[in-house]
Amino acid sequence: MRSIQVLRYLPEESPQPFLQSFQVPVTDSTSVLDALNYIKESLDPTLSFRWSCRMAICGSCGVMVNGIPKLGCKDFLRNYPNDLIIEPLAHLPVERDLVVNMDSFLRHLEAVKPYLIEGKNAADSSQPNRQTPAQMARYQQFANCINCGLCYAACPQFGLNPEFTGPAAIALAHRYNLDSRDSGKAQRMAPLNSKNGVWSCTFVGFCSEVCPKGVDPAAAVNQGKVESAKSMLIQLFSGRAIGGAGQ
Amino acid sequence: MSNHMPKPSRRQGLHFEPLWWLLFSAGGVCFAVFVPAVALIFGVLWPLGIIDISLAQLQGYYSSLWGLVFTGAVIFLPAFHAAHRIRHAFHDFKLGGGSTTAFICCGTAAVVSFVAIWAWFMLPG
Repeated sequence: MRSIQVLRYLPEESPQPFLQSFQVPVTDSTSVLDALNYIKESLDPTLSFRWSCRMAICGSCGVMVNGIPKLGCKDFLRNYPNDLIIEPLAHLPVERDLVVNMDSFLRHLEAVKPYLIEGKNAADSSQPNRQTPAQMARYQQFANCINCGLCYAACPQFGLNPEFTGPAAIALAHRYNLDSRDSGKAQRMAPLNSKNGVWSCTFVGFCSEVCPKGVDPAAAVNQGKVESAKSMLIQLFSGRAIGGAGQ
Repeated sequence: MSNHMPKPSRRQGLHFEPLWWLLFSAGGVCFAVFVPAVALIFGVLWPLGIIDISLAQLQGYYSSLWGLVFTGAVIFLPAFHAAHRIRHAFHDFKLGGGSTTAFICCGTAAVVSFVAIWAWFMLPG
């Protein structure tokens, strides 16, 4: 058995969040999510947290573990021989205990249209869209994002300015802009070109460190800055941007 | 069927951040590549007498077009790099970082660059 602390927020009981200690059984393979499930099943059924797949696919169980954004299912108690404090993801409004409101993240994601947009690059709709391995390799690493939001909890610029489009949304915008089957770059450049788009990033790089799927959002954002600078220069001189900035 | 949209202004939605960032990026390369070499030669090797540079020869080089390239790579671009970094540090510490800070930081870099380029034009030869 060992002691772990969980930050509780129960708005109907106390307006302030408070730390609560629990004794949980541990083995070498006990994950943070296992510990939370033990607490909910055996100690305190009022504890609220999100989870689903237990295998780092669904992206639901993001929490702060000793101040670092982690997926509960992919982080193990054996990594923390001393104190262990579990808190809700930073920079997002807390609804209850470890449950945060992801609306602002989803709004940013929606704004960059993270899906294939048909146009001149798409095949005839009766035909499959063919792609060579080289064309796929251009965007594949950015396609591994599971929308867990850890990079938003890691990003100090998102913490200062919640209107910042943020790492995952920009990485996914970049992923579709790089896709040979897509024709939607012009629509995506408008939000990326704005001050709250790629230009709010100061290349701290913590987003790429915490990503549980090995995506490199910091690289996507900074490649996005080159694209955005090009797009704005073309607009200034030709009047027609790659992206038609700021519509 | 035609659908006439009012032609959007070519400056619509544009802002200066990409310009500052391009100067910052170019200045970063100069800071990494040229500034250490200049500091080593003029700050260490020359004062210690390890290498000998004739002032007359130096002035000859500097008054050529290479002097202007030197000014660009060692003063102008690094000054804008530093201005951008200081401005964003102010933003990170919540001490401004908006247009006033940008004006002060980039203005200082512009004044430093202007003085350096003016000095080059004032050189004899």
